[in-house]
Amino acid sequence: MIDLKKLDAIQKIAQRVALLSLVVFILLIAFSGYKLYSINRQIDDKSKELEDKINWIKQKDEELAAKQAQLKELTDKYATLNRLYSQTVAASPESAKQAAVQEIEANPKTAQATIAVIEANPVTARILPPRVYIQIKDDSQRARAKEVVEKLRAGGFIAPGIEGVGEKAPPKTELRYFNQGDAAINDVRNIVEILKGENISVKETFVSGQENSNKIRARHYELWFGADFPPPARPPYRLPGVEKLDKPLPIKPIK
Amino acid sequence: MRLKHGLMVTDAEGLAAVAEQLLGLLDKLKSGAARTQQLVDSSRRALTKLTERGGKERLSGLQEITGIFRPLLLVLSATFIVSVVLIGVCILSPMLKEKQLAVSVLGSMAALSLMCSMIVFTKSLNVARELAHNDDDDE
Repeated sequence: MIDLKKLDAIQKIAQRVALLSLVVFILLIAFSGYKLYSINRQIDDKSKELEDKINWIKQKDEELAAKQAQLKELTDKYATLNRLYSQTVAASPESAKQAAVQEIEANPKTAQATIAVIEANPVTARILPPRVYIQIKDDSQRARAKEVVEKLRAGGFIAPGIEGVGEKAPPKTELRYFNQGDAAINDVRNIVEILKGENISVKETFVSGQENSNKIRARHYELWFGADFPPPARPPYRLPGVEKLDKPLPIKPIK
Repeated sequence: MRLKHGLMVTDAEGLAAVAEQLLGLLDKLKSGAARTQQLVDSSRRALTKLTERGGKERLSGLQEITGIFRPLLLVLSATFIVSVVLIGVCILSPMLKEKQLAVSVLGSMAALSLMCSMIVFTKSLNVARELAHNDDDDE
């Protein structure tokens, strides 16, 4: 004999499981559709972003090409000017110098731009004359520093001016250099020699990490006068055997 | 003379041939009835196993009921099991990027195969029940 009630119950369970599965199936399909939609949207967004980046890169490439062309043009101009300058200097140094000064005064912007281009390029920057910036602690050092500036200029260095740095000044006078090439070592040696002539002892300090910097050009140096500057004046010359003059030496009239 | 069921007798001699044909048909009907009775008995037995006994007997009853749809049920069960295993693999795999999407797709596949299995099971149950019920009516 078949238990019909139990059979009905089994059938009902099967039907409910089927119904539940259908609901789960619909929900999961809906969720999958939503996920697919959001993935597609993300792909669209990323594609758009990529396109923007590509356009930006293209634009930058064009700018770079333009700048390179400009640089080439300026380098060519510089080479031509340099050649002409050499020829003119060889022919007449004084008139060449005067002509150059006149040219710079007439076109200061062009001259500044040309210098900037030369300074920015490490190869061309080597031909520039060495430049020394002077830093002092306070105005009591200025008068003596001016004398040093004059000596440096006379030694072939460009010394644009004197800058007061206050408490940033080191305790001892320092010569800071930023490159260890042959030209730099030679310049440092020359500066030290000039300072020695002025009875100034200086500590040579190499500042690393600036070799390829765009901010500091080749042959750039900084002379930081410390608290030990100016040095004590040299003792007056004394005659051998004479410790102290109580009264001036008698001047005998020349007969 | 024309008779029912496509039998035709032209003269008195033809009656013997028709009698033979009718006897053959009777035999066929008898064997069909026996087969039907066998089917009904097996359905009744299967339903009894399913409702009144437990464990292995119930499983054997289930197999007997779903005998006609067995290949389909096997495919659906295999799909369900594979889907569930793949869901586990997806959850445990650290390399998969779109884990949620993969799990939801596999889950929907598992739900669909389960639903189809249940429908097939219900349908087989109905068929078996109908066969048993007809037999009760006949009795």
